[in-house]
Amino acid sequence: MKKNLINTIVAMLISLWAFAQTTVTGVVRSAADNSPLSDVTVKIKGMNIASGTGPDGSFRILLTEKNSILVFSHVGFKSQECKIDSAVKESLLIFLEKNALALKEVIVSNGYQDLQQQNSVGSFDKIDNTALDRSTDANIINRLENITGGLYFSKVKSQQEIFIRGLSTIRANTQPLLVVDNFPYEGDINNINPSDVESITVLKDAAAASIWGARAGNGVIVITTKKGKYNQRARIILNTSVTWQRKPDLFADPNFMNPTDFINVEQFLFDQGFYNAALNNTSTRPLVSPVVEILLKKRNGLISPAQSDSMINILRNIDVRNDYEKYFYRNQVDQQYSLGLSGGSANLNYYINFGYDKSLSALVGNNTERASLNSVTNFKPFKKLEIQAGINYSVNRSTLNGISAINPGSGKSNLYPYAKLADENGNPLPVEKDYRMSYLDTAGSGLLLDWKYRPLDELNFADNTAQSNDLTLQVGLKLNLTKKLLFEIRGELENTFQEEKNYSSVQTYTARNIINRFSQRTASGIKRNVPYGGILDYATGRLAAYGLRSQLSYNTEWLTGHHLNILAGAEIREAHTLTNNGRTYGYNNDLLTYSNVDYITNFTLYGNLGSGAIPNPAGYSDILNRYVSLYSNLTYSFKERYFLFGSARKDASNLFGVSSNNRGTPLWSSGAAWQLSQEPFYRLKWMPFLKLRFTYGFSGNVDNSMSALPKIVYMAAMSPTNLPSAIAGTPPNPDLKWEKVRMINMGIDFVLRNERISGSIEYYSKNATNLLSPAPVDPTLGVTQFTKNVANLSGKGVDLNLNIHWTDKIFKWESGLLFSYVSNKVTRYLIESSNKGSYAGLGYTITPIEGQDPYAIISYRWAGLDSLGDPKGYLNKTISKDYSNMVRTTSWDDMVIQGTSRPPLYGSLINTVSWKGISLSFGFAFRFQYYFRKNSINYYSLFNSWIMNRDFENRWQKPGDEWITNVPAMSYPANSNRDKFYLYSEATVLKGDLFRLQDLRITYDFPDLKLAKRALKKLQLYTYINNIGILWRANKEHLDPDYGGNLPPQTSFSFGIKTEF
Amino acid sequence: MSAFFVTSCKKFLDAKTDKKLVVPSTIQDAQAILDNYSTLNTYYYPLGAQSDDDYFLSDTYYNSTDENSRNYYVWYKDAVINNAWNYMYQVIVNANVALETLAKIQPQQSTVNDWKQAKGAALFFRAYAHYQVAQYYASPYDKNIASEKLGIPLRLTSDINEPTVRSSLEETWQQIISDYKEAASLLPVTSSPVSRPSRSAAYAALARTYLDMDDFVSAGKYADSSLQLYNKLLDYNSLNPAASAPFSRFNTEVLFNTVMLGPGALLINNARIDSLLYTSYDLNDLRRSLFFQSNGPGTYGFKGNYDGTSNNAANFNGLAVDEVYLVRAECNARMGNVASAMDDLNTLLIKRWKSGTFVPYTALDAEDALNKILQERRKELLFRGIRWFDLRRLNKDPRFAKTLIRKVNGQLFELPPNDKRYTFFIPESVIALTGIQQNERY
Repeated sequence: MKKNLINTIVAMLISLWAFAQTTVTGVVRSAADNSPLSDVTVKIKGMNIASGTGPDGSFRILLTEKNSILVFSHVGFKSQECKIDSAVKESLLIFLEKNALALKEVIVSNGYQDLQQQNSVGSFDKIDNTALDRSTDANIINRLENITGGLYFSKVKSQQEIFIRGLSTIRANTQPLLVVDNFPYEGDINNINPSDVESITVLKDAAAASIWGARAGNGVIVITTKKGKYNQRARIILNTSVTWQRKPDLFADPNFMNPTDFINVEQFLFDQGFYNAALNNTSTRPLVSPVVEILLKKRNGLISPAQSDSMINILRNIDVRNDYEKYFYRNQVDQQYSLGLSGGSANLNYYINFGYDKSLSALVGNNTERASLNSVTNFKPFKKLEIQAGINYSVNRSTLNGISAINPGSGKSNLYPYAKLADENGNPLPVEKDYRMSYLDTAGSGLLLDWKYRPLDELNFADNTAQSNDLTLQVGLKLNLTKKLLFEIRGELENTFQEEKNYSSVQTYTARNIINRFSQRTASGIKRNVPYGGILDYATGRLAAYGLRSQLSYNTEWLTGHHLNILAGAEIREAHTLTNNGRTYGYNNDLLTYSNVDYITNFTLYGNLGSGAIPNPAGYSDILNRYVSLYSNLTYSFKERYFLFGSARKDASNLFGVSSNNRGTPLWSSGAAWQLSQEPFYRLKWMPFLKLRFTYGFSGNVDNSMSALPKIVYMAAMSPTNLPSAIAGTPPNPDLKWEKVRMINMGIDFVLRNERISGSIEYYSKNATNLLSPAPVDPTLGVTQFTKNVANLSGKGVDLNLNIHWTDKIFKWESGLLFSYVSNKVTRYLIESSNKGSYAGLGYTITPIEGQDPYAIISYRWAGLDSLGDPKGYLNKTISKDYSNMVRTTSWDDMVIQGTSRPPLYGSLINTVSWKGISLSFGFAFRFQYYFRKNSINYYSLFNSWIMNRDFENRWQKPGDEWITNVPAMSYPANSNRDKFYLYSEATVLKGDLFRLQDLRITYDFPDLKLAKRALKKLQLYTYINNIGILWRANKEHLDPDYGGNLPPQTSFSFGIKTEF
Repeated sequence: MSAFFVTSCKKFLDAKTDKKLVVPSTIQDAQAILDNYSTLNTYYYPLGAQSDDDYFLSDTYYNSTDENSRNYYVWYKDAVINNAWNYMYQVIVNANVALETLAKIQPQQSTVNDWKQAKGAALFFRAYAHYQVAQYYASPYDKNIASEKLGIPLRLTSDINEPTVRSSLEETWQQIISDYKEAASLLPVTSSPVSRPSRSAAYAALARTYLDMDDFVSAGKYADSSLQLYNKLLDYNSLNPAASAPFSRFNTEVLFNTVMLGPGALLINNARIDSLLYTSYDLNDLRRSLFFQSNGPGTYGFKGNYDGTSNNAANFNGLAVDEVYLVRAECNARMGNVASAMDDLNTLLIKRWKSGTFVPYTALDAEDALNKILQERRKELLFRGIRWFDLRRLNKDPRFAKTLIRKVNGQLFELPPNDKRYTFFIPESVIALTGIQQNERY
């Protein structure tokens, strides 16, 4: 009915024309709402002449022949043809009808070219800024979590790691390549303001990533920043948000003990004489706890048993966690602001954005500020030439004065749990550090500086700052040499300057301690070898990187539906990192004066605490990485049904000590796709879009630190010889090869009728060969590890991505499901350790064993506790308590591999319901089939280092307990092998599976602002709640397996406003 | 044009990745490797010092310390510290890299002395580390059976493709001797600082080595050669007995400085000195106050470390003139030259006693001289790791054989003379990766 109407209108218009002029003008509008359509392709059928519509929907095209047919096409709309057989007098009015299959035109970027996802064969995952802005994380990469398929965020180590489709290498650097606007980003990701990001494309398979060659082995993440558009009115965008997060709950931390238990242990050890060595030590004066001092006074008859008990009982009621929470922590508040301006005329567009973020971290004294300026201008001086210039400048400033934990030194890792940091009036109290407090009370007879350590003073006097400035300049030039040939040249300069300053004024313990240690008694008083004054530690780093690329692309199509695109280019790149750090003694921050010290003499420390030279942590480094690459790729398609793809790349780098012909590696990939739904025979009406994809290819990993020649590493001259020195580095490896990752990807993209369900399912398999790994070697060779091409790794997996529109009326409900399965296996590993017990671990790091998952959790076989509370294991398949041999010469028979610490099954489900301007979205995340090792009590560490664990409460205490607990009895003397056996046994491995409610977002858009002629075009209010909680978990101990030894983050609440003028 | 591109591209990629990385090619590079004090001079494990009778531990300390210290203390068969082996071979590989670097250099007139010094030092370090390994992991040298007994793996190249095999005991000691001898022919007479080997140190090392091989003629000869070049002794009267570390690092008596790592059990407060040993020092013997400090009632700790580090955190185990005097004295005594033997002993001891109080020792005969010299050797070379080597060699002679006894928590542990436990186990990882034969089980 509608179609007829349009045809009628067109026919009426046509009848008015006479073929007198050669130029046709007109306007294209959407049939649905009459709105003008921009970017509609207007082509003369059968000729290679095309034009497009502007933002107002208007077009202009020159006709060379009469009886031409104009073809109007636009993604998401049905193409329409219009016959023109006479001279045109008036402007055409064309209405395009929405395609039943309203596929959005998705442009993905691989960092070298923009591609239409619909026409590509590779596995690209594009996340636009609407999805990215769901989260309010200040780190743009973190926002990808749970909204990107096949991406796994591991937070078990202190440094977060990201894995695209599992593991491709087993060395330290398993992280994907990060590309920002065409060039690899060498700086700190925190320098990028998320409000500048237009979209992120994750390149997952060989065909997508192979253009990055030898750096693409771990996958590639391409960030595209915002730019202006031609013919667009000026827009001002102002966004702001505030995030509030409660301070951590230290009482939920398993790595604490209640003070009474700790005191009971100390009393027990005291009676065993455990502290005698420390108490009798009159040289290094190791610290002992207040309880031990009280017990000593009792033993020496200075106080009565009753006095001792009452003093200790007071301590039993103190829990240092209260003070930590009160003085060291606060609720975190993060603020983000951005103000942007963008727009464009016919031949110039611009984007400029200013961002300011401020974070008051949960640690009192840790604050971060980031200011960023990002600007991109595109300019077309001639029709055939486009010039782009971009500048990004960001300043990050932080103070890092916070104290998260007190390290008492003298072999102790934690403070005893009954410490008090302040008195009733909040005045700082001293706690034990480095030396015995009773010694410090008398040491120096008043000649030394105060030697007490008061944590709250340290917090107040600390002056640790870090600043980084990052400047990135980009210039690009696009020249259409002919209609089919495009020449591009692009250059980038990145300059980062980082500076850290830790100033310890003479009020700080750090300075006072060093000054006192290097003081010497003389007849007349005291001689200070480290002068009175502050100590300044500084570190600076400078990164200078540049990249230069030129490429030619040839784009042609024939009438019969053939389309060919060829791209070829060359690139050079250099990243130069310089760092230096050092220390100044006797530094005065106000006058900038300092003093000199003697770094060579071996001084006897004050009071015979030891001996040593004055520490001089000066150091310099100078690292240069250079790459030269040649690349090309080719895309061919026929009738938008069949797609072929091929790419090749050769990389070379300044690999050290390698002859130049071994410096490069050629890598290639290929692929094909078939858009089945375009076939004339395709009849499935319920599935209007169906596409099959297949790719095969190689990418790689490069490590410039390897060497094929013998090398030595120079070191600074040091006490006592003060001579320059060097050390023979790892032995030469003439057989060094580049790591290679082969990847096969098969995918199906589909859209069901009315776009009710759309999505993709992909299967991939990876085979990584020649992987470099530090392998144990015969120590008689002078090294215990040697990095060689020793390993192969295979991986396979499935990524499922489903979008479901349950209802699409006034009330909308849609769901996005991401589901990934990944499995990795070490298929070859040349050298296996003789002691299999050495593989028992947390599963956080890679344990390469042939046939196993690289993140397998490997444990000593567990045979329960015996009637004495001793753990039982196996030695040569028989139950044993010979702990020393059980951990020293363990065979596979006495070990168990329980599973992997990386979930093979994981994903997310995001449900969004909206009604009018209100939208509510909640995200679930789930992870299955994985394990984790909980931390538990280590008696040796408890006694010697005050490392605690709440499992102490569940330890075996009396016969019969062996039926209800796996925690061994406390034993004395402590047997570290017994502890090790228990900690790395099956008994401490738990199933990790969980289902969590990750986040919730409520958005309200003030409606109808667009139509009204107001300055304010858009106003959105939102709230975002993150880390809401675990709905179900397999472990019964209420542990969150995804954060390793760290406390899981508290729930955070964000509020934000987005406006557009 | 394309040729230009290729050359400039090559040049671009020839740049070094890390400025600190160097393919060693100059004499300076070799010397820098050999001046790496930390790696070459400070990673000597006190396996012997932990097992010898210079010290004992209290039960409470024994119970509170770590397993390795406990194991070495009671000669437990499973006592093993992998790094004791690893670090010595690290020294050897560094020496080999230096030697291979120097082998490629044709020294000029102006550099020949530097070249010789570096080469001599590399050979010296290689021998010095091989010696340590041999004294821990191979049975004591006995020339009658040395060709049949297993020695240690000798690494004479840095090539990692060269398999690790155990040489015979004879080959082991001959390699040590020949490296030291070649080193002596190349090194300067003395060195500064004494972290660097010298000819006098090489001769002293040869004297020590031959002594352990029971070749007293050669030992005496090299001790003499060393003393000819350098024979300065510290006068203990000039030292401050109140100081916590009375001896300074690189003092005039030191020929070559290396130190041992300091496990907790050997720290001054924990390692107690045998009271009989302590009381054997005369009241006028300055060593009584310079070597020992009171550690509470009736117990003493050792502070006579020649390295100047206090608290025994790193005890001197290098070569010093006092040891060379004692070697020459012992050899003379064994060869019947009683007068020269006692002369050497008295030359040393007069510097150890309070001025004016020393009455020179005399000996009735060679046997008496030897006994006195060995007794003074015991009292002079404490906590240097030498005691363990002396136990190994002297046990072969029934006159000096000694059974070591430890009493721990009421339990007695014994180490009879020539026990197999005088030879430690080679780390399991080495056995597993190379297939070389483990030392005998017991």
